[in-house]
Amino acid sequence: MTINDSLFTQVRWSRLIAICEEQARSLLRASFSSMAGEAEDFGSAIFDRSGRLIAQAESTGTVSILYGLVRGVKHMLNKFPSESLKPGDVLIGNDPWLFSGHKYDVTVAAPIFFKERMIGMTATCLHVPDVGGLGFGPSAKDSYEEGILIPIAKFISQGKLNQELIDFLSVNVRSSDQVIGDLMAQVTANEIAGRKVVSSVEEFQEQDLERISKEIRQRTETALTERLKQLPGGTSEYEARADILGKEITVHCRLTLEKNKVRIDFAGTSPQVDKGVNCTLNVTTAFVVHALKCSLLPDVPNNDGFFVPVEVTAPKGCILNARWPAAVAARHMITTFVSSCVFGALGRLNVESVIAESAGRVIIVSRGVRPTGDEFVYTYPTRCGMGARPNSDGLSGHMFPGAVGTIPVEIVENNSPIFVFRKEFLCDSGGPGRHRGGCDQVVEFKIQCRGEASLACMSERAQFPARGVQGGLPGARSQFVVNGELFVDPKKTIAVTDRDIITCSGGGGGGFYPSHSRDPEKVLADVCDGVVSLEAAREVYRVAITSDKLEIDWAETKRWRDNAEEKNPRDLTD
Amino acid sequence: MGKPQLSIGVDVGGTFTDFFFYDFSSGRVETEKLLTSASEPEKSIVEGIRNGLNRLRSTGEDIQSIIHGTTLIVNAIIERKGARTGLITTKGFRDIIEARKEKRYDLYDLGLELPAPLVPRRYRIGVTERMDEKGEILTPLDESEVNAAVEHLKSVGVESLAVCFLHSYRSPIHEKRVAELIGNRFPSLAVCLSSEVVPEIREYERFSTTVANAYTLPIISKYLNSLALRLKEINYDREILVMLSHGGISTQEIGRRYPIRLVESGPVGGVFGSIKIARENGIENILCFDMGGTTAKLCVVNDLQPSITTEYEVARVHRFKRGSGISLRLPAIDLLEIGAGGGSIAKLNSLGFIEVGPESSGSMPGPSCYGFGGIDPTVTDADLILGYLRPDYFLGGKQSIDPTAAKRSVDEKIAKPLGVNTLAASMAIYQTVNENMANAARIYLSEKGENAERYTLVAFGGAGPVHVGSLARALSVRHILVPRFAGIASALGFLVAPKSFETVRTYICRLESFASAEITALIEEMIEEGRRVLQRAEIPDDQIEFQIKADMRYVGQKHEITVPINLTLKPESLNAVYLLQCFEAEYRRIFGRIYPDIPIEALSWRVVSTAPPSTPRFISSSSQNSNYRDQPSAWRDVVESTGSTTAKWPVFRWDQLPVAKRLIGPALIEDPYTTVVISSFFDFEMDERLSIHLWDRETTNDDQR
Repeated sequence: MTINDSLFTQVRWSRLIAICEEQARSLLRASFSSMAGEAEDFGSAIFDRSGRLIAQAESTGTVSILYGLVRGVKHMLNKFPSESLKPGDVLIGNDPWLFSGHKYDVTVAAPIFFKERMIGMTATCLHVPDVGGLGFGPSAKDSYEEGILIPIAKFISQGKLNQELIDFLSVNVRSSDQVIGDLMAQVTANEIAGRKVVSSVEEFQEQDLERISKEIRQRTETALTERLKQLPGGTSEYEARADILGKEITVHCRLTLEKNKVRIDFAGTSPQVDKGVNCTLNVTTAFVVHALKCSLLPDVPNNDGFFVPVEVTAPKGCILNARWPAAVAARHMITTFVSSCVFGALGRLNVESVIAESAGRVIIVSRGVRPTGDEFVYTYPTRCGMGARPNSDGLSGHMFPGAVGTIPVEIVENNSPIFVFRKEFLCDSGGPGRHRGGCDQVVEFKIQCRGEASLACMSERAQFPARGVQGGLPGARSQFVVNGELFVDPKKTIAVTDRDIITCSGGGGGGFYPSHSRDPEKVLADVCDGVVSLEAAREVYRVAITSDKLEIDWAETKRWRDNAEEKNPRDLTD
Repeated sequence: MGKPQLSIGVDVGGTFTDFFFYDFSSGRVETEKLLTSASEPEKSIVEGIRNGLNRLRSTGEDIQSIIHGTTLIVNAIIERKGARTGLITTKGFRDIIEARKEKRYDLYDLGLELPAPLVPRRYRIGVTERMDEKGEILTPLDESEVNAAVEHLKSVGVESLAVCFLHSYRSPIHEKRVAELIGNRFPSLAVCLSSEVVPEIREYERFSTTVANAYTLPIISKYLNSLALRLKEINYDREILVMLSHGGISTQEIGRRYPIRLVESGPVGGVFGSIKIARENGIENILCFDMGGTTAKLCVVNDLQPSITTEYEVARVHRFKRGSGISLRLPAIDLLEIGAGGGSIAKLNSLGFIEVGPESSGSMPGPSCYGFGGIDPTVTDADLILGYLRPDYFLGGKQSIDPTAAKRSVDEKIAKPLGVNTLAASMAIYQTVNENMANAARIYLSEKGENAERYTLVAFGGAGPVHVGSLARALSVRHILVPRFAGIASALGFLVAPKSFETVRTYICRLESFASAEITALIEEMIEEGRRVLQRAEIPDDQIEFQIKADMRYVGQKHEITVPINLTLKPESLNAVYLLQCFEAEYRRIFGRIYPDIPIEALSWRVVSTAPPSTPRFISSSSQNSNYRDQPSAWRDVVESTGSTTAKWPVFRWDQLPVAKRLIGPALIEDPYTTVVISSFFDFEMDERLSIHLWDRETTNDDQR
């Protein structure tokens, strides 16, 4: 390989990624629902002739959506082999076991033709506003209660829209205009990407995508195995606990680093449950692969080459490899712990690039009837405390491992009956550490509905807060409070009226390294900014700050720190 | 020859202020460049104008217009040198500017960073008030809370206030009342209302833009006031025109109230200057590379049209990535700006690696070699040590620069700690800053799906021609164009930029219930406003053209597209059927399909008022080069890329270089404001307009030249 070849590969590779980014931006602009148009809950990608991932948009997308595309497009080509596809065909599907683990993520994919030959696929996956059934949340007992499943089918056949399928979907979902509008936006985005791929292939003077696909995948696989060779190797175990409607769930992970392979097995994990929180193996794998990539190879763009040295197994029937017809809609309540386990296990093998546990998010889902008599269903995600990093604080009001954003309050209030009283960071919510966990963010709101509306405020950290690492302390727990006193299980769907005021938050991120090693100037800045209290500065960070002038008493601080013992304001249960 | 009619372009950079004088009556040009006074940039402007007038034997009365752009605003944000700013917002929402969109812009990067908000949390205060999404008051404004908040912020030294309430794009009443309350008690405190700065939905973008406006307002208003006063001293009493970020020009009043619209006003000039040169050379796709004292800018121009964005970001903090900067909702030329200029400071980080920028030494103290007390080594110091710059010809010899001081700072801060010699350390600084720029350029281009190879790199700014060769090699660009007057290209560009002004009004309506009379009245009002602004810029009425545009979308969509409406000046003929045609044509062009069954709505209406571009020909070809010499004027020791040895490079003076004669690098070409550094990888030639072309010998075939 000469330098010139290397440069060509680099140019082609970044071109394909840029096309995916453009595909994502087209989808953003053409979409109809808030989850797509504002929060950007979707992914876009390009595949070779065999359905192997070559490039994806990296600035957007969720962990499960992006990996769902990786698996799902191959399933699509199994059912509709590339030789059978015609120009103008568009495929669709949302099977949780074949794609990204719940029915809300609908994948729409189209073959790319160049000189009358099918050379690859372009695909998008988007979280639609509704799929019927009980609605978004963990309440369903099985898949049948979770709404409509679209088997892999032709959405458009040689340019002709499958109107029966559209009619069938329309009568089965709420907000059908938005759902169908979003699906058509996906078709549009794929077309735009497909055209760009063709003109690039022409410009690169190639016949298809096979050469560039092979080159990209091999380089990525080699980069990962090279990285593995530098690591200490060995096996470690890590366990995380979650609380699902009063039932404790254990996620247990055993990770083995070999010279050219990473194996992760989830034996010892709790069995699947009759709530909508189960993960299909695709989703579990998505979060394993994501954590490994963040830790080991963040700079190399994602593609099929990365998955070759990674082996993910979980016993069939456990909550991380659920059997049909398990309910799966709110599987995000479990996936956070998959990510935590992989980072925890890597940390135990002395891999330095890890992150403390994150508290992630609250997903508010409500449906009911507006005072005008119109029905509504609305999903409003807000982000909470990200875990601290080895060299920096966790971000406040941002989530991890996902990356999807929120919906602006002004858009929420224009498009839904949700009225927001307050949305701000909570003091002392970030897990203390030399690097502090991100602050939790509280949302206080009411729903201006007629009669009763259903409401879920899904969060993951009600009982088990996001833990710190290397001596860092856990972040605050999540909360779901009605009218200031009624504490509700955050996995529960409840009925509310327009007089109820709901307060919810998702928790703070865990800290990194002991809190009494934090730079006192940073502690002072946090106190001045109201995100750390004077008491916490004194008791947890061991920094003496004068309460009148807000200045550091350095001598006193030194004395306190010299005698510091680990002390945590919260009762540490784990 | 008649009485002189001078047009002056002035570009105020973080380090230098550049001037270009053009006399419309005679075609004469004059140039000037001097250090920007960091405390009083207006002083440098007047001094430079005086110098130019003296050389042209003219007076202030001969000046017809001054068009002026500045990087003061963007530098204040990048270097965090704006006013101490406070934010008054709806109670419960003070973290909006910090939580932003709550989106991580990179899925895999654990080290991802966000810019610190321009207003720290301690200066963000919520007050009781609330509007709903229709602009109706749900909770009245608590005026005593406002007074207490302002009192507190004033007591901690806040000089400027942003007032940002939820849904104020629908009703500005509460924000306006806060402005009144502040005006009563503290008339000198600067106040910016989000309902005035950017009356658009989406709180993060609106708040962020308003906060940035407030952060920079005290700087610009002090500066413009003082500038007007000083220009009166030289008998100039007309309008001071300002360049806006998207390429339009406007009156100083707009600049004073909305400084953030000037955020990229400097670089815009260079882009238009480059477009003029490219057009003259028959080149359609260029990559503008402007490297000044404080920052470097890159801008892609396809088909001679710069791309304009309304989702702008400044001061990206993390690997130049999209999402890592401060969001601004305003029309701006879509360019990349990075902290890499001649004044960028080089230092060693904790790992012992050289880092260059984004901190800049500015004009005071400036690089060590300026001798104003700077002790930090900068890019200019390295350039001087490497032999690229001539100590006695800096600014044409007006300022002397001291190689000994440059060597001392590089030695102390870089060479000794690393255990290498001065030359190697200087070469490492030069290469690091070039690599920084190349990396940023790659990301910027790949975000657009573009490939640098198909572009001509047009280099300007004082440091641009010094660094362009190395940048071009890193990006595999084959052809470089360095225009005559490259060292002051932005100031020149202001004179050739189209004079245009854009007005926007929001009036939401569906096509099926199209309010023809109201919209017609609105558009006529906007046309009048545009006419007034251009009249103040001395454009005759009959030369002004108007273009109408509408921001439209399918009902239910979250994002709109801007639809050109091809009526030149007949707003009364606007009707729903015609608008439908325009929208469907544009939607189909962008997305490839339309939805006949979904209703369509228009949100905002825009009128762009434009004067025909002036196309002055500054140079009567070859006459100025009658005294050319085939032989270099000197030979100079230049450090080779290994950093260990030196070689003799020929030095040409720009005005003595032969026209249309192919020469072979290495060579240095000097004019008073810049030096073109041509390594041995390049061939070069000066064309009849006195622009210098460079071709990479390895990647260019003869037929491409």
